[in-house]
Amino acid sequence: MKSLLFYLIIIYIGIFNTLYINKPLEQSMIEGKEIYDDFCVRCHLDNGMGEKGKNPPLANSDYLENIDKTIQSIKFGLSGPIWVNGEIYDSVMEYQGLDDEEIADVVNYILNSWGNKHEQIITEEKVSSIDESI
Amino acid sequence: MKILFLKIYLLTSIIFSCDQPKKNIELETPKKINYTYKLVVDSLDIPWGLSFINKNDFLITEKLGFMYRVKNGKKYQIQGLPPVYVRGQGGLLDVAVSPKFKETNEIYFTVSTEVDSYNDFDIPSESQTFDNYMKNTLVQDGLNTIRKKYPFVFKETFRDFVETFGEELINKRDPIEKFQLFLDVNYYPDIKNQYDLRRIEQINKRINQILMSGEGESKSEKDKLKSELRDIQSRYSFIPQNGKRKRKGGHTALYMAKLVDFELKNLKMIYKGDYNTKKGQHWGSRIAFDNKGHIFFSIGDRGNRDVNPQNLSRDGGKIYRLNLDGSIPDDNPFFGLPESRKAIYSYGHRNPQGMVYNKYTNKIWTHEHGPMGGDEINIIKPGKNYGWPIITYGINYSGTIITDKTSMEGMEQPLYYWVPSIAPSGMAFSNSDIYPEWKNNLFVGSLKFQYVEMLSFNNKGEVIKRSKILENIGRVRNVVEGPEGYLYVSVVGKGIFKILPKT
Repeated sequence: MKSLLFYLIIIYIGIFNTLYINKPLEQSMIEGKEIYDDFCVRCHLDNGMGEKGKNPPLANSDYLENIDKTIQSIKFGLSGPIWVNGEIYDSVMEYQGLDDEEIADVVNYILNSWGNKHEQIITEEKVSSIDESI
Repeated sequence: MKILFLKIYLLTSIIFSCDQPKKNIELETPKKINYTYKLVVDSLDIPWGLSFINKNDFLITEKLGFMYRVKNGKKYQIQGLPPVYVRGQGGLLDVAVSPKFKETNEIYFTVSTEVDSYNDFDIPSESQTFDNYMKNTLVQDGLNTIRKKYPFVFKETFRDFVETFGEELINKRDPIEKFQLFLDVNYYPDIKNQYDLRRIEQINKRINQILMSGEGESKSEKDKLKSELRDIQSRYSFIPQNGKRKRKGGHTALYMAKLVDFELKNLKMIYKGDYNTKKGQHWGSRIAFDNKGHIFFSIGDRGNRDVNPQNLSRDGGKIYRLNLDGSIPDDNPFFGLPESRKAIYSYGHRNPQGMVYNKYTNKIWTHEHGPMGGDEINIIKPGKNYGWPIITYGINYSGTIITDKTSMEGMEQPLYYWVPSIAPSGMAFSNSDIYPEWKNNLFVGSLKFQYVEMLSFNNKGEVIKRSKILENIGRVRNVVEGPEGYLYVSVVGKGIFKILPKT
């Protein structure tokens, strides 16, 4: 009986942890917008359109189809030429020093704003699984 | 008719007497290019600061946390930096060789730091004061030895240490060595702050003297010393949570250190902004010296424009002035004002990333990033309010209005402002005769439009001409005049360029 109770507690803690770690998309997006307005807005602008020839757009951007690359570029910074919607951008996005949870939040915000839609929520675990060499 | 003329006269005189700053002077590209340039240091990521010891010996900072000394063309990495908190626009920022470097070997630098603000600290409750905690918990000899050497380390640090090394520690011969390692790895080398160490030694010595000779009438002195000790201790309150340090954000700090070959010694934090925040924006920072033994530096509004720039009891959005030894000059404009941060020299700034001392007027000049539109050049006067965010020539990135006011009584107008923003960084006058046509002109780097802007003045000190230098060179982070009068330009992703006159 005692051990049954013990297992129940373990299971309960397990469920609680999963719920706690995976915050709902809405919450993640709210926190993601805060990060966006602080770290991203100067170049990619409020409407996610970027600046033609300078900073690539995030709204309806085909670059975002590769989620791993998207996360990687925020996590480690990005430099050198990239193709976005048929145009070449050769600029630098500096390493921003965000932690994995913050990156998950801002990616969720980007993937679900300005007409973008992404069904699966990006979790902190997903971000932490991405390393520099992909 | 007479009245109409009078009206026109009055109207025009009002318009011209209003000290409106100049703006939107057309940017010219010189037709004849009288200069050339060469790369003197290559392979730099974000070269933030540049400061000369002499013409063949200078220091460079890179934002991600590296400092280099370039001596006779060779680049050496400098060891002994404090941890750098790279976040958003923050990182290792400006570096400045002391005007007294020849005698003292001292340098200054500004850096984003995670070190806790001492004002932020919650004092332990009565029953669990620092001393009680030490008495009750640190029974092992080893820990007592450590405490003697590090009397200013707070209990959380000890707790963390004991949790990590507890059992090992009892058998360990030299706990100090282990503890030092633990601090270096887990916390910050600020713990070696020489000034604090010395002061703590003095205080402990005096307290011991008082205790030896019987408290008596010296009790109040002892209490005072104890409270000072606690003050110092509270500055080192590193509070880890569950083995993982809880990140509380950071702020800009000014350090001084002795440069011995390629290593920093006697590292000392001489100023730190309060209060830490996780915001990634607006850390500043630039450093400049006047000719009276003062050091000036800037901190941006730290992404909290509605709270910081206009509040003298908080840091951020300010230009600061200290003495070269780090003490605060008692003739600082807010020195006597209760509740104010006494190092503040001027306020109401947004994010100043350019600062230079004007040798002819003996004034500090700065420029700052405005929001969308409204980058400014300001001449810094003691105690003055430069208006952000009450007045500005810019608007929000979303296109919404911040304020409809561009001027207000009691607030300073910029000497010049840029619409659209050029994103200025780095600032230098050409004082030499090396570029005859450029003498006394001001040079400002543009991150956004990737050139160096040259501003010319009339004899009233007003901007009358703007020209583009080094068009398309890349994102310009810094412009500095070297000891011989050559101009040096730091470019993101490329390195340091030296501008040479065409012969």
